[in-house]
Amino acid sequence: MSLLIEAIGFGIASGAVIALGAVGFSVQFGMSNILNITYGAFMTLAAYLGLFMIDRNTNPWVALAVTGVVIGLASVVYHRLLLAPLVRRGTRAFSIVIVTVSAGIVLQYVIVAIVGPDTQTYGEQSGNTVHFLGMILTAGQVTIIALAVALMLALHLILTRTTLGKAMRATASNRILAQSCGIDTGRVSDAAWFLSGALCGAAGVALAITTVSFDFTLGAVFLIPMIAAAVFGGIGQPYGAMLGGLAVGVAGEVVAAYSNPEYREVVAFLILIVILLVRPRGLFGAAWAARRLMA
Amino acid sequence: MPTQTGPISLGVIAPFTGPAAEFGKLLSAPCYAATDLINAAGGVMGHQVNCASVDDTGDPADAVPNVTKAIATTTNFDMAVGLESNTAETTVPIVNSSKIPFFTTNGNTSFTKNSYAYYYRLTASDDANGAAFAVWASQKGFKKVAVILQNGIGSEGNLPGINAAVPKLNGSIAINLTIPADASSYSSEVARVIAAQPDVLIWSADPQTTATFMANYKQLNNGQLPPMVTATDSLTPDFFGPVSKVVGVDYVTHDIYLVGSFLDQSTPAFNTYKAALLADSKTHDIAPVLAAVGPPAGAYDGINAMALAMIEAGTTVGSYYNKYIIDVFKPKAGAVVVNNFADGAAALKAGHTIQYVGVLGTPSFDANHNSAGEFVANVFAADGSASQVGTIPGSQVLKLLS
Amino acid sequence: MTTGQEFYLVVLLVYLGTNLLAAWGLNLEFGVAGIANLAYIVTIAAGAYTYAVCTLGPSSNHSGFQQYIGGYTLPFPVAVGAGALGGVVAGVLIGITGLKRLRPDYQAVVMLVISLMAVTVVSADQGLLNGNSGLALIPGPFSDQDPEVFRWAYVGIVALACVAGFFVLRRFTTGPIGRTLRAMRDDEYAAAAVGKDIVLLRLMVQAVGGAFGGLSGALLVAFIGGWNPGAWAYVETLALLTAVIVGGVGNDRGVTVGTFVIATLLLQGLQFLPEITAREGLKQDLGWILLGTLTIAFIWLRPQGIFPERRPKYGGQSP
Repeated sequence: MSLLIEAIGFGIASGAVIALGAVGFSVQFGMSNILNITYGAFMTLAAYLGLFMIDRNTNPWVALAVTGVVIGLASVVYHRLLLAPLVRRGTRAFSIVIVTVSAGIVLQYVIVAIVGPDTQTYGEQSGNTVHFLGMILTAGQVTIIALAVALMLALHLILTRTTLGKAMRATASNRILAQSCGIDTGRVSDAAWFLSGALCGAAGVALAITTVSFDFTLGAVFLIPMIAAAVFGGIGQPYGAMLGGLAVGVAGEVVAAYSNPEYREVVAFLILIVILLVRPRGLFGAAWAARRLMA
Repeated sequence: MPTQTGPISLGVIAPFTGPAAEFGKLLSAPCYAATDLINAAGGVMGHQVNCASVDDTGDPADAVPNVTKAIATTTNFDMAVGLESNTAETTVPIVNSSKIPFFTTNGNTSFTKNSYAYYYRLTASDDANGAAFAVWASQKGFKKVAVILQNGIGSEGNLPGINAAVPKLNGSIAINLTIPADASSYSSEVARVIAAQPDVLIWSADPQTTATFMANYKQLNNGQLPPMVTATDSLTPDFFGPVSKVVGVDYVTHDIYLVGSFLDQSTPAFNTYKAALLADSKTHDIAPVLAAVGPPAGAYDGINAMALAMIEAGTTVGSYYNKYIIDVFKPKAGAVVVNNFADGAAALKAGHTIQYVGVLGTPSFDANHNSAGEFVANVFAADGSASQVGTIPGSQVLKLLS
Repeated sequence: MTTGQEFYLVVLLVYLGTNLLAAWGLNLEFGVAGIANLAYIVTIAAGAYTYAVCTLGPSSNHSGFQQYIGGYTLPFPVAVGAGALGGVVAGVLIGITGLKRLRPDYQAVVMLVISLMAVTVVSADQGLLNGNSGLALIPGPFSDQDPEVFRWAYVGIVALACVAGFFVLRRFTTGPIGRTLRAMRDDEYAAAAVGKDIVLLRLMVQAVGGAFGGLSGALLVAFIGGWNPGAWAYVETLALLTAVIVGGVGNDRGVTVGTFVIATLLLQGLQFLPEITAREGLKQDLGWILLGTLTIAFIWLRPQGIFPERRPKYGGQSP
């Protein structure tokens, strides 16, 4: 029984990082209707940028913030230069997915061409372990959970309380109508991609911190659990992504605790496939959102 | 007798990309050391020897075109070393059918019985290594063993040997886990291992997996880590660096034992080898630790043996000099014992017969061209170099396997 | 030509042949029928593994160092046929997941995940197909013969398979079946409205495409003798997809040219580059960077590929 509770604790910790990434992914899809598979490679880039700073004695949390900003900007540029023009031209959604997958591969191999395939690490995770209700978490993991909750709360507040947020939601649900209301959808898109890119960057550094050692395949490996989490909760719904992250994380760790550890990954895959085939709008997706997912 | 003109190419067929990419540069090191010495002594019958890297990518399908292309386009491709675990099944037949003698460094049990005429292996197979881990753990008094292996051919190959040996040594396997490579967290697996309360971990995994797993272990076990017995494959800066950065140098130097092929570090052969590694700028940094590892030393000995066999045969062409290779190692009456290429070449030139005793000592090849040898346990020093702390007789290991 | 150069040429030809079979199958599914099968590599793997377990004989033959299901010793042509059937089964199973009418890009992600899941499941279970270590010592035909004879004979076998395969392919990509599939691709609802059974068509395409993949995998593994999960990572489908996109989506001859250009000229040509930096592996990384860039470039600039699909002109002109 104690193993189960411990596993749930580990699941919450990994779920927090998954959720952080999933929310950003979800926002990108909600805003631009694009499944941006390059997201994983951007997380890898974030991890390496973080490494660059931490090796020069930057505080890891400062590095996380700075990397978030950098990846946010990079995401805006990426969307503006590559994805938005393709969408404008009426490229099929499938081709755009292929473009994002290819761009992810290019970015990943550019990174490895520059820094090499060796294992990297941020170093020993100092800090005590926290024992809470039978779960064991490190101080770093607790910080990340808190950070994930805070960032998601912040996103929620932005989306519901600010004008920008309302403009973002309007653009996401009906771009043309939003334009006719006078919303500058281009700038609003940029803002959404910046925010989601920042979450991507933060998630990348957070992942590198929790995973202790990593190489250039970091983001690619983490991508599917994130997409599973995003879809599970309902793509376009930040709170849904948080729940999805928890579900994927906990399910994975429980499976690893009781059966073949290889199946931890398979759990995320299965969740994704089952949700897409059975209830594509996810747990909290509105019925109208489901229509967007059907052919 | 066919002759060739120009320099000879020595192929290093190893992964330079893919999941095992660190092995490429590790296996290139003995090549540089051996060829530096050979060329300084005037080459093989006047031919200089150059190292040619051949990337087998870790993908058995992609390896085939790369290796055949290298064989097709490299001039005087007369020797090879490497042929690593993941791709050996598809690359060994190619090199063999191209009549290029090669000393391989993989431990695949599939080659324990084989009929490849040009194949030679001076280091033990993975299951023998596994049994050696078990013997060492038993020698140190560890009874309850946790066996944790990464899912992959090199690590999985250890398992039959471990399973056979531990019970015979009156130990018990408290838990046997196969873990995925390079995962972002092993917390749940670690929790299971902690619950089994092992005295020691018998371990085989790449540096990234090890660092993450041990970090998780330390966090979940109140900072305590059990001792670890692993393979000398991990006797590299790639392993020492991340793992000590993550769990501290103290644990790495006191509690990690790396078991593998024995090399006597007091012999002139070893000193020559190590000096050559230190002298070459490409290998200088990894020399202190690499010199203690079996497979690269086996490659070094193999290169010397092949070069000397070429002189004995009077030609550099593989199909002609291949039959002299085993003879180079054999003790014979009236033979001059040599420890390096330069001495061997001089003795042969003066008309003597020679016996090459290299870094791994005198091998005893069986009918499959495999020679297992003795085993030794190493530990890391604080600067990342290695030192030997005990030996394990090869005969004991082989008995446990049968 | 030296023996080494001859051998290299043989390898290039055999690889080209198996790549062609695979590319044709993928083109049938993606280019002609509009099915976004990013899990195509799984059909190739299925063919390879099926051939292997049909020719390896029982595990005890090799002192039991590898475990696997099956373990028969069938003659070469039968085993290759079994491999193609393995591809059919894999293709249909993948196709069943695609029956739920999701948006094409979601479909693509589902297929990608299936590809990843297949690798993980096979790696995880040692008893199934020897896990991550894979299968070794897989026999090919005439293995007791002189290797030099065997090599060119094998090129002949692969060439024969390609010729036969192309003939079969044309039956599906041209004529009435071809037109129906393109109609389904261009406007599924219209096609259904005229009475075409979409479900049956899609499953048929997955079966035929899978057969091509399975055949490709079986022929490849019989030649190289070994196979493990390292050989069929999900990115391999993308390499094939680049060949299809560059060559000409929906155009069989275009895809043939595209496969030759990408798989042979580009990827093998990279190996001839001199050492650029200290790192040997750079060429391999460059290969992936080039593939990805080419795909993006073609989707951006010329999505129909070098040789666009020839649209049939009605009113007297034959396509």
